[in-house]
Amino acid sequence: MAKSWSRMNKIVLLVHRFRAYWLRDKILVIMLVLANVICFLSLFLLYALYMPHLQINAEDNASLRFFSYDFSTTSDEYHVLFDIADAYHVQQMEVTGMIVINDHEYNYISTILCNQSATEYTPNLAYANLSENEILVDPGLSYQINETVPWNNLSMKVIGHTTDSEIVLSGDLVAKYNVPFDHVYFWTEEVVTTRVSNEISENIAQHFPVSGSMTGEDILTTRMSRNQGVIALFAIFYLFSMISFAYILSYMLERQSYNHWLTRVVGLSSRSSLVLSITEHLIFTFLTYLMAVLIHLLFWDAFFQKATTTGVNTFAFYDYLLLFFLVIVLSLVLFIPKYSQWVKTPLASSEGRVKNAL
Amino acid sequence: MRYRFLRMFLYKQRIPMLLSMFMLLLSLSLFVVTYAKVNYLEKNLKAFEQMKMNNSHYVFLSPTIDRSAVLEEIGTYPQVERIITYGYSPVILSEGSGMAVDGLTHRVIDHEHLDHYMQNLDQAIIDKISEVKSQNTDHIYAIVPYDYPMEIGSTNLASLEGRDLFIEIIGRQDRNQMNWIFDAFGSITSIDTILTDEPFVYLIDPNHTFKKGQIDPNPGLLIKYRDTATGEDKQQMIDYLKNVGVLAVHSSEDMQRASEYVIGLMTKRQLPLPVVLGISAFILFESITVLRFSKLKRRVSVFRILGLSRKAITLGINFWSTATIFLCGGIVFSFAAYLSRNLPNIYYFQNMLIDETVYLIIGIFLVFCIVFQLMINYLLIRKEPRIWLRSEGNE
Repeated sequence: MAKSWSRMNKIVLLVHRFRAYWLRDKILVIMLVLANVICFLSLFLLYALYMPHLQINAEDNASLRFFSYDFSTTSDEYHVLFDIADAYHVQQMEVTGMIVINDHEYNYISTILCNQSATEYTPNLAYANLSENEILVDPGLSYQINETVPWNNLSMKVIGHTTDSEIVLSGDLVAKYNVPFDHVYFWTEEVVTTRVSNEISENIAQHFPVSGSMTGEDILTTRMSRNQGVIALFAIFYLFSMISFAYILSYMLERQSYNHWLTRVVGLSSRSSLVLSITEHLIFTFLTYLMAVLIHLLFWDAFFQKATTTGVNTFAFYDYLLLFFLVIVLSLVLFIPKYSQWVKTPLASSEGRVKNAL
Repeated sequence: MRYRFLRMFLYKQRIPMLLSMFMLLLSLSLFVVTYAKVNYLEKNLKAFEQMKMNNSHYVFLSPTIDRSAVLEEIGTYPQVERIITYGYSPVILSEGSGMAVDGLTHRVIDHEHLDHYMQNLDQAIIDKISEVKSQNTDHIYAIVPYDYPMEIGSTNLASLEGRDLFIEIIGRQDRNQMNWIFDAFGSITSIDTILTDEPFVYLIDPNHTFKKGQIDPNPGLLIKYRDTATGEDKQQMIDYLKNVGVLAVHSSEDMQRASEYVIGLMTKRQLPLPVVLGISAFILFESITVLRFSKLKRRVSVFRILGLSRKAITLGINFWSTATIFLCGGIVFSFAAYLSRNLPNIYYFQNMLIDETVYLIIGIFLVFCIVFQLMINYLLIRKEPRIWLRSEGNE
């Protein structure tokens, strides 16, 4: 009898079961689908917000675009810095070092390149651009506004105050007169790949005596090392949601118990019944997941992208696949014991029929 | 209605109900503390907008400047409508106190704007400020960030150009708690800087000790221009400020835009978690409504046979879930009310504003939960006519 249940029969039975669920419990099916879709969309939202690799293109990714190098001795090879700026699309570059003015040694800072976007920065209307011979000084120093300061056969004019460093020099000046620097830091326009990041570091190391460095790549690596923890948090969230699905699903299964009992009576083995239940579960999860993915893709521009800081166009296939894998594993872990228990119910038990009859 | 009767509707539901209640409480409590932070920033920005300080420049003058002379001069410019001043003090606290770090800024609260600064402070600090305002001592009072190893009540020796001052710590707060907008305006040069802002110490000087010492705090100015002021008029002011020594001039529009941008980032980063948890709790709660019905339907048939009216049964079915929501609401409202009056003296609970907006959002969510579960129960009852019809003949 059991052998008479061919693969085709099982497929027909599967279709019949789905149809029965829909016909008998339309409201509950809609509720279950909605709950699943909302849950998956919530998962996508959390994933976009907290997965480090998606933060690469986030609005506030400045720390991942950052490069900082300390040198053990000073250098004046500005042409190397400009070459790097050109080659790797550097947005902003600053150097620091010491400068001797009137026999006194002062810390200085200089912005040698600045292409910042006005969206992220509030421009200082007083000193947007320093001319070559203009400087800003710390108010604690003895220099007065409009005072002329001699340096290297030049007359530099104090045009204002700063608290960034003892002296702020213009980028044109430091580059033209090769003012020695011992530290450089810069931001690229976009987050660069690991290969490019290494290339930049190697390039810097070839020309300068690097004694210490910090790059966006280092920061990203640290964040990526916490990936497992983030995924574990998603798993906990999904498990909580699954508990709520379980209640609706159990109720629906209970209402179909008579039909299930009947298929067992006419020869479907316990094993086949279990496999069918799991297949049914997988198909349902897959279909609702697909619906969630479609909604996510359709409304990405209109809503989901705006709701996160992620600047990517949309998720990659890998992201959807990873979450689907997580969802499937967790739901099977939670539901297989329930299905097993259900198919193991002795046929002689009239529980199913009685429940259904009521 | 008797408890014995209502208890019959709790059959096999205690654990799921406790679970749904736990989820509701978790999500709503998390929402309260997270939204209160966003609310704080938004309300501060709104408060600033209400000051109608658009068409103005925010100015940092350098510490060595003669503020009185500059203020007097600015006042003579016809394009200036109003000036608000505030500033830092050059006071340096003693070595070892944790505050004598080079480059730290200390803000003296201007009496004119004290109330504005105080609006979102911990009530205990506000009470303390009111108390010290009435005292006639040479003490200066300070609110220091949590980063500093300074306890409330301790007195610290500080020096102000060689003169000794006693500074008593009356409160501790987040780095930018007192008035985020002004702080943010002073330091937003990029997103990174607002998120890693320099710490501020707020000094309250009830008896003008600084002025007695003939030392003006280093000023920050908000210069409001008349509506008729042109771009040239504003540039004229910038040129003047550059001549007297200025650290930075920012337009208030730029700063408002930057503030909105930072608030948007914070909202996107922090709010989704409680919102998603709230949705999850909502689904769980409504699912349990379905479960409740499945567990009860046979009992309901029996109740009908025993002669209970439909009205009583409907009430019984809805009673516990509604009571759960009311209980959750009560606990969360009490929690929010407690927090709004007694913010814990720890870092996480800073920069919060719990007001009617928070209560309203939670209230709407809870009402939505109740309405939805009543609707589900109604639909389920309609789906099971046998429950009602079975005992029709007995009526």
